[in-house]
Amino acid sequence: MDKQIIERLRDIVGEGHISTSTAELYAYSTDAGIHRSMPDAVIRPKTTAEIEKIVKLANECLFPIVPRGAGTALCGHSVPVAGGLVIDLQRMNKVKELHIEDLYVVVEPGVIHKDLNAELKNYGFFIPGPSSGNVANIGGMVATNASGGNAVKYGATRDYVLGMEVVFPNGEVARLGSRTLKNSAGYQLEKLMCGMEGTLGIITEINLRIVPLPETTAVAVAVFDTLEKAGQCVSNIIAKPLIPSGLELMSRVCIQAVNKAVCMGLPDEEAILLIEVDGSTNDVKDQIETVMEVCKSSGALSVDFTDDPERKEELWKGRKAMIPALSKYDDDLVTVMLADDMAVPMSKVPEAVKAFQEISDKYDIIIASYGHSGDGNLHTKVLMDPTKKSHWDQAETAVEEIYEKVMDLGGTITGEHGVGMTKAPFFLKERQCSLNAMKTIKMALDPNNIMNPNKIMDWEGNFISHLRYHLEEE
Amino acid sequence: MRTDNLKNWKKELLNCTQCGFCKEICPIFDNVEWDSSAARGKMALCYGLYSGDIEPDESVLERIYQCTTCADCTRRCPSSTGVVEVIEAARRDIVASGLVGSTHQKIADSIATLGNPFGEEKSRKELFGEVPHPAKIAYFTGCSAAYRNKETSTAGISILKKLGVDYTLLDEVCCGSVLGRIGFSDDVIRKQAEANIKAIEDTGAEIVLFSCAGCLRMFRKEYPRFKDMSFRAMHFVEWLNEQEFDLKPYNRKVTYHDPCHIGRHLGIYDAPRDVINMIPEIEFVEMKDNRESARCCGGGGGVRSMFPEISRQIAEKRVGQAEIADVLLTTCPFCVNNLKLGVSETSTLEVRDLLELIDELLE
Ligand SMILES: Cc1cc2nc3c(=O)[nH]c(=O)nc-3n(C[C@H](O)[C@H](O)[C@H](O)COP(=O)(O)OP(=O)(O)OC[C@H]3O[C@@H](n4cnc5c(N)ncnc54)[C@H](O)[C@@H]3O)c2cc1C
Ligand code: SF4
Ligand code: SF4
Repeated sequence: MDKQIIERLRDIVGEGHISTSTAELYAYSTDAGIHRSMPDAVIRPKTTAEIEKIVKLANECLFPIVPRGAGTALCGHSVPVAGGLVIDLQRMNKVKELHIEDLYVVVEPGVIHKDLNAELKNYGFFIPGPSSGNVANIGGMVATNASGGNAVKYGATRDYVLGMEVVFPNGEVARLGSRTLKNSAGYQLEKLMCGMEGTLGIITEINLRIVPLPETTAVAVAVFDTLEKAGQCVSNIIAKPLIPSGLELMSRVCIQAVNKAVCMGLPDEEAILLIEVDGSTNDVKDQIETVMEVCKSSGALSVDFTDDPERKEELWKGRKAMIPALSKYDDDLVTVMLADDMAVPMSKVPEAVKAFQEISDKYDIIIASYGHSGDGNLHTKVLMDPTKKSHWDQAETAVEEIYEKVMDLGGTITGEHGVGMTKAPFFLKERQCSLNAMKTIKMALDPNNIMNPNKIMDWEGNFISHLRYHLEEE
Repeated sequence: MRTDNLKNWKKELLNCTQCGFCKEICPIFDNVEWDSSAARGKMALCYGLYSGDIEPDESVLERIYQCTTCADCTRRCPSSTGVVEVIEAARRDIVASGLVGSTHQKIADSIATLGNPFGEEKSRKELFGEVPHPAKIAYFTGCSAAYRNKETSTAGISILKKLGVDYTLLDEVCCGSVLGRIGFSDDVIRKQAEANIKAIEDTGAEIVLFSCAGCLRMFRKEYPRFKDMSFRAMHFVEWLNEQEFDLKPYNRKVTYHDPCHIGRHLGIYDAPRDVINMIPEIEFVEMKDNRESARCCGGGGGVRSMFPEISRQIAEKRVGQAEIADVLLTTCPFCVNNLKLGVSETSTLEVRDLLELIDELLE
């Protein structure tokens, strides 16, 4: 990007809001995934008008632009793989309007999920979000259609998007959707923006639906000697019908990791289920009774429950200790973001977990599986030495087999985190039939291919590419 | 650039998943706002230096030195990454490569020649007019309470006198904390450790009291690397918590700021609160962020000397949390100084070292 362009960008946002320093270029060359690619500059606009000018300039001078929120996406989503300009939206962090009585709010994209919920809590409302919500931005959540462990009951970010303002790749500012809870006015373009990962426009304002905070919650913990029984228990709970606000499964590798690293003394069994229910006090009491009954009749070795906040904290502790525990599992191995969030139909969860374990054993690579089994969403953590080529080779084959299994089971390669770069090769297989339609939409909206190019359906080649790790001699 | 030190921290460099959770709490990021300034950004830059991806140009050095070593990131980190250890390793490599900044070099020169970082000519003996002598209890005043916040050391000495303790001051030199934080090598720090340990052992002291969080941390966490010690290093408030004494009532609302270097670094949370609660009629309230999750005062890690404005703005935010009380107490002169800078002209909040209040109330 030549100096003249940088100067024109500086004129748009003002001194202090654009950088080409080594520190900034390097820091914005990654997200929470495995890839790295250096941008030519990073810019931090404050208004839609500034973004409009930046996008128009990008079209005139034909340089790539990559929007970015908190940079917590896990698959290289905001990594500027073709260089160009990273547009950091964190300065656009105002909650602009609260319409509690109309059940919606209007926010800028850089608002942090936690901050929005802190404000909504004053009125007894919230919007659900990812477990990264303490840092993730609403814009990033919309652009990845993020969701959390309570999606089984509350759905994903997409379900809360009523409308938005967006700067399309040609620089046109458009308003999509509405401020109403219902809207059948033609193409639901605001929903098209959910999960577009910064390839179809820059979201500059969002109208979000809000929901009341539940009065109280309770948690049950059930231990099983087989994964199948745990899986069957999940299906039995849902079929009751009872929709919990959270249903977490921990498999043996995770349980052992927690016990080894933090001496939690969790039962050394095949599976632990954590089941959370929420609602009014009476509702919660009834629900938890049902959950306990179903766990017992599904063959749980033990079931325990609590609605005491301190005990709840204690019970979740094991689950929360898991990620740090995994990072301490072995002195030479660290967790690496691969095959991290596939989803399968709920009843297939045990089969998927078992298959992942077999693949893990076959390739001698540690894969810990856990997940929001209530919505069929499974997380795995791959433990490897990312500086060793041999580990990447093993991981590549293992990941490929995992995704094949997921697709065989009628699942999707990503239930939460999105495609970005890391999952693109497998996305191309999973969505073969709709690639043409997607490419056509992308071409129509972004004829110069300047917005977050070469991602999702436009990715070419293997995922072991643009690695942020340096390979070292083995 | 040399990377001998960073190489020892490969596991931690890789252990950081770049998840960004530390953006929520890093006080520098809260102030600077560019992603490179958060713990995550600094971990990335350290990896870049380690791997040779980047050169330590001005922008990189600036960020690596924008860390107060508060360790709040490690508390928040889902992988418990040792960010402070990595950043300090990078700083050691930077200094070893001859890239030390002039402000920091001046501090190191002053410590080497005068035994304190402030360029003060007087020795401790000259300053306090007390000659070290054999005693069971010694008081290591530290440079800040000796040369800058004399009221703290005066209070410490007065408390010992009022309690009738046979104490001695020491022929001490700078503990070396600042040298360690800004990247000077173990060889330099060892000299300070050896001189101080000898000065203490010459008095035969069994207990050494500290009023500075940074000094105590050095004795507990770093000195054992260099030499065995025959005495117990305690914060003044830990020791006070084991003593019996009467205090006059104090009728004001106070809160307490946990200094990072005795809080998150050493786990001392109860002793200062217990001592505060010994004061009759005092009303003690906690700030929103306290104990393990206390916000940093902004002064540590060499940030105050190199980036005074950032330091002040961080202090301002911490002081803002303390506005629920009349008095903000803490147990480190360095924190007292920095927090004072954060008090606005219109505020009536008083910032004091707990030792001064105890001295005032001690019968
Ligand atoms: C430890 C950890 C846990 C996580 N847990 C979850 C989870 O439970 N559920 C889940 O769904 N995800 C999870 N994630 C993934 C990630 O946090 C979410 O996808 C989050 O919503 C991303 O938000 P962000 O602000 O960080 O977006 P970024 O990472 O900055 O960006 C993500 C994508 O959105 C685009 N984008 C960002 N802002 C805009 C905008 N205003 N306009 C257009 N495009 C934009 C970017 O170009 C990029 O493609 C987790 C991540 C981590 C590190
Ligand atoms: S130690 Fe404190 S200042 Fe340094 S990176 Fe961590 S949180 Fe930020
Ligand atoms: S230091 Fe910890 S919290 Fe921060 S990015 Fe790295 S892994 Fe995440």
